[in-house]
Amino acid sequence: MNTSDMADESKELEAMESRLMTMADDAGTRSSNGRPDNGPGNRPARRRIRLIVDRGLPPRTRLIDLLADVTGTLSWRNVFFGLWDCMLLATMVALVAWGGVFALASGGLSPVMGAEVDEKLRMLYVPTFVISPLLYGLVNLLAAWKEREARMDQLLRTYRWPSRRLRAVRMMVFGLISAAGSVLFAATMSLCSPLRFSPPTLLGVSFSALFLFAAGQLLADLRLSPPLSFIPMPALWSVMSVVLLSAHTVVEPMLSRLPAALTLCASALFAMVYLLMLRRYCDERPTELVSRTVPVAAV
Amino acid sequence: MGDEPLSAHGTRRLIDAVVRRRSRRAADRLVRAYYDALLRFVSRQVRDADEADAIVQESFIAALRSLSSYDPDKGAFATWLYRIATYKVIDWRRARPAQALSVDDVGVSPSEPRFGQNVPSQAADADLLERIGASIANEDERTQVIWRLRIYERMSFPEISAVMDMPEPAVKARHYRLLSRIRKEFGDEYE
Repeated sequence: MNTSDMADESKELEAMESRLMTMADDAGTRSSNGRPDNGPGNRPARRRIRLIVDRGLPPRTRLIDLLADVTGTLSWRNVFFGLWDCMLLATMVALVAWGGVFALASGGLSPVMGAEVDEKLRMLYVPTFVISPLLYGLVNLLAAWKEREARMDQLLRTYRWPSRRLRAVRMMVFGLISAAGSVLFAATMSLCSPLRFSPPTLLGVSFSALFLFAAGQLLADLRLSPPLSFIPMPALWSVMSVVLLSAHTVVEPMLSRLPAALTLCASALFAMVYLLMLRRYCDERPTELVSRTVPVAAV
Repeated sequence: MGDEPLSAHGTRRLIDAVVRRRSRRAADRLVRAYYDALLRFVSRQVRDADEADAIVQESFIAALRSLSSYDPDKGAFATWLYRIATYKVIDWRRARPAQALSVDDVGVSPSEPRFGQNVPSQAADADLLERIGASIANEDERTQVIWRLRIYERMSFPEISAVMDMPEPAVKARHYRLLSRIRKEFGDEYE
């Protein structure tokens, strides 16, 4: 077949296609003529649309059901597969940090050595606020970094739904462990430290810091793609920590005077925000898969 | 309300509301906005009004259930809907044998023929489309979807390529190969 034959055939096919398109258009016009009242505004169509929404709208799934689905499918052991070293390292760092806070609150080695405690250095609420999210933040960061290094994140992304829900389960567990750490610290302080303080206020401050950080980190995860999402919240928290610690003489008395009910209510509010964001995190597709730009093409 | 056209941004907002909050109102608006267009698209391929309604209904239900998998980067929402509906039409056609048509089946009144065309000619066109539909039913699904999106919705090749996640030359090759086959099979009838 020469070039001219090919061009002729191509023209013929295009003409045929155009003819078929016209025939198809006519078929549509005829069908529409056969049912003059079939727009979405009329009653039968409204009924059909209601039925579509009833049947098609997925039922509202609770966060706990989504997470239970993951643990049911994978088992707890697999949820934390390959992350035990990250958890151990983060726990050790957190223990050292909590020990530091305990020492700061108790006046360092001065009571042991029988020396007078420097009250200007003594603080509890500010370091508690700063340190509370440490375990959560560190274990999340280490887990994400390890997955990235081992290219596990790319593998997980191919199983669209579990990757985010799996991470959500982990975050939830790390959050609970961190909260348990805060409770343990408050209990230890009230039993072993000579300092007089309100344990519920301390718990409220600790939980508020934890859930505030966790919600902020989730926001970064929702808005940015890794590894960029690992940076803003730890950076922001570090800056805030430096500011709070350097101004502790002002901030410490303010925090200690806060009513326990207020700090606990604030922590409950932050926890609620965190859980709502975690629910949204489970639903949204990873930012690396979905561009947030709206397509220019009109619908 | 509802059946007014939605912008791409408005559509995206409604989809977000359905996916994130399971908003019934947003789902209702979304379906209303695209109901007519999808019904027109399906009606061009399925003459039986009740069957067309049922296919549109099934398509919307499937679309709402998998709304979270819709990716705006791969094309407009309407294009994604047409793709779902096309698969439903193919399934429907597969489940029923091709039928011969009479003038009555064409759905026009003999006293109101279309300008420049008489009723028997319209019946012949409809019959030809029906037979072409039956003939291409043994092609693979992707080729059938490309064919239907192109012929019944006049979609451009870049649009089809995006929604089918296939390179444009591959889409064109499949389409023109099928056109060639149809020309050989029905060549003297469509002119």
